[in-house]
Amino acid sequence: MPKRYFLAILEWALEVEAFCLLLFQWDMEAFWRLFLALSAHGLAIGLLALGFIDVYDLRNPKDRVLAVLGVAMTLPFPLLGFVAFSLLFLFIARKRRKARGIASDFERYIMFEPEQFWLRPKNVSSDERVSQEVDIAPFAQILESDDIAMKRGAILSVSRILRGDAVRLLKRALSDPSREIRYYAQNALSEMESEFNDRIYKLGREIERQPLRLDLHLELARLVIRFIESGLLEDAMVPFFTQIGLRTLDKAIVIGSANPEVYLLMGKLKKLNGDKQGALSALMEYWERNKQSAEAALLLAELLCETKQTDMARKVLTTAKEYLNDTRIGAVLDILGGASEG
Amino acid sequence: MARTDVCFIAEGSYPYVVGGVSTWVHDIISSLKDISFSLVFIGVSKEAQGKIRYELPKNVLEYKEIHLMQPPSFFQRRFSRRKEAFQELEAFIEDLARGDISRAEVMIERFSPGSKDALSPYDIFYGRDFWDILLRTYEKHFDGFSFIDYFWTVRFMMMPLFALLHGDLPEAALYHATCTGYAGLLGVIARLRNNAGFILTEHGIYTNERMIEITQAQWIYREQTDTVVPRRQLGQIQNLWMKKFDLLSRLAYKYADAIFTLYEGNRQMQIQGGAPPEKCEIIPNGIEVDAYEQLYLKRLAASKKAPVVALVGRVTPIKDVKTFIKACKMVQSEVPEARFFILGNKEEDEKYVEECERLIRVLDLQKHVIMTGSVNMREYYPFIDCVVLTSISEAQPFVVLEAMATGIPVVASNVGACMELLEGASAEDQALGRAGFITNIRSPRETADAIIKVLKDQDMARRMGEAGRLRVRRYYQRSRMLGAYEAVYRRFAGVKSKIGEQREIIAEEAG
Repeated sequence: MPKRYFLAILEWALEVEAFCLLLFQWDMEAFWRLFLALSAHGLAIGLLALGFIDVYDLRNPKDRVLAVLGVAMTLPFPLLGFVAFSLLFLFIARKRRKARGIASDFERYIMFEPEQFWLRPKNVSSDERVSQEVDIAPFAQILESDDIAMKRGAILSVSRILRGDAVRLLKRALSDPSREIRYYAQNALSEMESEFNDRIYKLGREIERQPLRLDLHLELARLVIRFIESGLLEDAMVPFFTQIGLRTLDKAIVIGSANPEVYLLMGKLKKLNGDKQGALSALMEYWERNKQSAEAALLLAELLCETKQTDMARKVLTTAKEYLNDTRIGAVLDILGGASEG
Repeated sequence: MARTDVCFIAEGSYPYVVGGVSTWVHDIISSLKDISFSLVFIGVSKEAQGKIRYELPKNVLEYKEIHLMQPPSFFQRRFSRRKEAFQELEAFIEDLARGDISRAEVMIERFSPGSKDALSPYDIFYGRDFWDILLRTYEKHFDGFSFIDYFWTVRFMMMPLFALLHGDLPEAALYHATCTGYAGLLGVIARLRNNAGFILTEHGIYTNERMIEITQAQWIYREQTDTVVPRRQLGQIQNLWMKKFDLLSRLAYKYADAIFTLYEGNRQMQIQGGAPPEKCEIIPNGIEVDAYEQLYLKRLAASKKAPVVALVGRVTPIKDVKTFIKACKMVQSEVPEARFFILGNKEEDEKYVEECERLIRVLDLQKHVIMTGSVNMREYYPFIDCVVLTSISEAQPFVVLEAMATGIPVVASNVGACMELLEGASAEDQALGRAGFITNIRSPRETADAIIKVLKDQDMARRMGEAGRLRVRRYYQRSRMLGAYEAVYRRFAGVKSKIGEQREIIAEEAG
């Protein structure tokens, strides 16, 4: 029974105690029996005026009625009146709950806490889906023209597409001859970047509060990778953000080294930072623990090829093919087979 | 109140907001002591404007405020039909739709309180005749568009105009507006009503700034925002607002006796915006060089434990403080002992300040980067080794001039007049040498590299500092700027100051 029912349980206990004291003698003097019984009953009524399950909000007329009803029913009839009120309360509460179904859904909806929102994965909206499929080439053409009004329109449209090629286009617009266009491009990039920075900051703060939560560390590393891959970060800033990701993954290993994703993320981060050997050893660690990821197999094969370990790459992909039904693995394996033969 | 020589009309700046325009107004008024000034501040509402940041100089004889969102009473009803006046108004609206402002003079007269057959706020906001005009205009130009949005936009747009038309204007021989827009309109009204002179100085180009603001304003209704199809036209309501500001600018350009700005780039933009080229002149900003000489000497004598890099400016998106913070991270990895300051007002955009503070934490720079808020820069300049400006839009920033006058090398983004300030405008000017580095906007790597060069190469930094001092002394002296404006005031307001009289006496004696 949770704390929520504490008040009701206490009231019940006091009423039962009062009733028992009146009913049974228990070798007690009549004065004490009456005194204790009335005290328990009085206390129960006092608490009942305060609330039955939750404390009443006396600004609410319904709660006011319940408070008066509870006291009025229980005061003249110890226990019996209380039992009757409890039944009445349950009956009303059941009716209320039914009626409140839609209302509470709505309440939950409007009580949506944006502060908590950043922790949840973002749903892909239809708008995002459309923007994922938009071809960037026509925008690039418009931005090369001299038509400022059209260029403004293009910048405003491109700024709604969070994709590497769109970001590159916006970055190119930073050196547009028109000050207005440069401003729009800067503003769009700044807003996109702010969103990432903001989420990284909030996750960092949450990790400070709950340093042992592995999921938070992994989310932070994933976020840093997405930030780097978005192209929003200047090249010179990548090492600093990579460090943020790697530091959090080091902590994640201490917390739960059994989770193989730590090594996958570490491999990706090290690769983004240009540390091929580091990336390779992290991904090997991952591969030893989990052979169910096509993404990891392909990434590992790519790195092995880059470090001239083609045989090893082929071996990884052959193993991956046994576990996974992914056409990309077969295709890369075919190319590698050809390369080795060639 | 007596008629003053010059009435400054400041929109959203002096004396409430600290910044380039306010510094410039304050400088002119407090330096030209023999000229009597009045001042009109145009703000949104009394509640929104905060505290007065400048003490008004003694030669400001009259001060008035006009609040755009607090227009005069709507309920002064006039019962005469004034059919002709409404016909004129409808014709004027049609003209405006075509971009024709030739009837503006008549309409200002029509809307001026006290004039014959004047149209009152009641006529516009509650009158049947204007309602009919509104419907006809809607059917002609906005058919199919949300009427509610059209209706409220028109009302919202008219309100500030009434605030200006019914505003209490000080009497002056010359009205000097600090921008076009509402200040420019008030200048036009003053000129027409009082038969006075009217001049205009634009630091930034008003229509450009409003255009950016309107495109990104969340409070303006925008249709079809759910597509990524690029459009030449803004939304209808955005267009309406843009047209309004464009017309206000063209009106100010038309009626101004002279139009000034800070550098050639802006002058060209004014001409593109409809300003007659023969009226457009350049008067660059200037500073009191001698006052910075002491700071320069103090700087030479100062001993510090660590190099100091500072961005001087308000913490707002236009200053792109985040690029500076990122550059700090890069500099810090090469010059670990360096300390970074962001010296400027933090109250203007709290959301942006918070974003900057978060970026500082994310980059683990809390111990290295300090955001001070507003400070007295004269106390800081002697200890700064490099002043940085990462703005994405500027005119001719005072901070660059001040840093140069103190002998501090400057790293500035390539905006406004920064290039000519740091590298020289003419061949003769360029021969003085570079006073710092120019970087591309939003380029932390370039900014960081330039800062590192300045911090590591002391000789080069010293040479840049000296070149800056020479350039300011030669081209950007406050006395030059003040002399130019004094001449302008003499020309258009018939002002005869003591300085002017002394010059005339000297000239007569010499003659």
